Amino acid sequence: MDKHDADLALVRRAQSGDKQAFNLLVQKYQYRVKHLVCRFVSNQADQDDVVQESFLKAYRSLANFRGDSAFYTWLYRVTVNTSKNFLVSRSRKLSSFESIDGDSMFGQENSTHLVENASPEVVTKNDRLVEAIKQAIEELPQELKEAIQLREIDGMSYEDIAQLMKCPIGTVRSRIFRARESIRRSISDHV
Amino acid sequence: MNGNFPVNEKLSQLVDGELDDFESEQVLDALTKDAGSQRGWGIYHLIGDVMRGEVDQVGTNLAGRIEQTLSAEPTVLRFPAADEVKDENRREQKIVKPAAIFTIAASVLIFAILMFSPQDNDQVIPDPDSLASAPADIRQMDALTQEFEGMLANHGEFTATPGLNGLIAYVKFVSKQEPQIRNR
Repeated sequence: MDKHDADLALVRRAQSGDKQAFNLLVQKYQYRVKHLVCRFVSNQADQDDVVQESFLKAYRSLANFRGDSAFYTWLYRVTVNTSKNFLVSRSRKLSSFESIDGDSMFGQENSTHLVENASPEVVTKNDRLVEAIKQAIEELPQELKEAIQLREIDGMSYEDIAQLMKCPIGTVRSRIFRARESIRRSISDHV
Repeated sequence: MNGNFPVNEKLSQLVDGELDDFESEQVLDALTKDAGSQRGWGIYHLIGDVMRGEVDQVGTNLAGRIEQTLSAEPTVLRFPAADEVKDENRREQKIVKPAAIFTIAASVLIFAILMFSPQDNDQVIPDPDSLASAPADIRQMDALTQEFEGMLANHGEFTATPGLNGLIAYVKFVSKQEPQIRNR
């Protein structure tokens, strides 16, 4: 039986007017997109701007997505183009900085600038969240840790994991779910 | 914010792409409507991203702010192109037609076995020329068959499909096509 493509199903729902479906795609890919943007943009606030602009551009051109490629492949291209456009735009501003006054540099971007940079306290809290997740993974019972690592890092299917771990598919399904729930409970104070 | 939300094993399987189409659509229906499940969806994906080293920094509710910005965007609507609809119908026909043909063929075979099964192992089905001298029960079976075929032809409800012989020619094929409206 063919596995269900959840991304494509969410895209189809978004194309039918369900914005919440697109928000689920944002939640799924926000960190991967930001990780990609970081290769082009070093400033934290600028990174968030470019991430937001990438998703906005993706949403605005979603009607053009036919499903010929994977959704993330398409989103990847949108993000790279948005990042490059940002760099070009910024370099033009920097090169014309001496000929214009500082006030006219602002208000001309296409992107909606995020209101403010994160405060140091918020940044520290979110770093702690990442550390808490890593710690929770390390503290998992071995069979749960192995199952979720094979799934998330090696990208193996439940069937392949079951063969490797020599257990039924139902056991794999249960171990991965229990691993996620254990991590979620461990980080509940941080979210 | 506490961590209580109605996630379950189905959501975990959906994240891994391990549900079939029907179950996936059911879980997606619930997911798009339930804020608690949406938080679970986000956390499950965050866990995977952290494990793969794809999270530099969690950030300050980036998804929430994007959602807020999107709410002001005009809603995207896309209508599938005609060739995409044809492809979808063709894919469905590829499943329905062979299944229908197989079912009908199996029914006809069973009918043929019941109608034409020999009375005993030594009996040979006679050729038409020898029917006159055939035993009465064989003549009766042949008469029944002819009557049945005549009934099918006379009623005219079933249209013979070109290229197919025998009883199958009078059997109606079902496929996923637009119904034709009969002019009265």
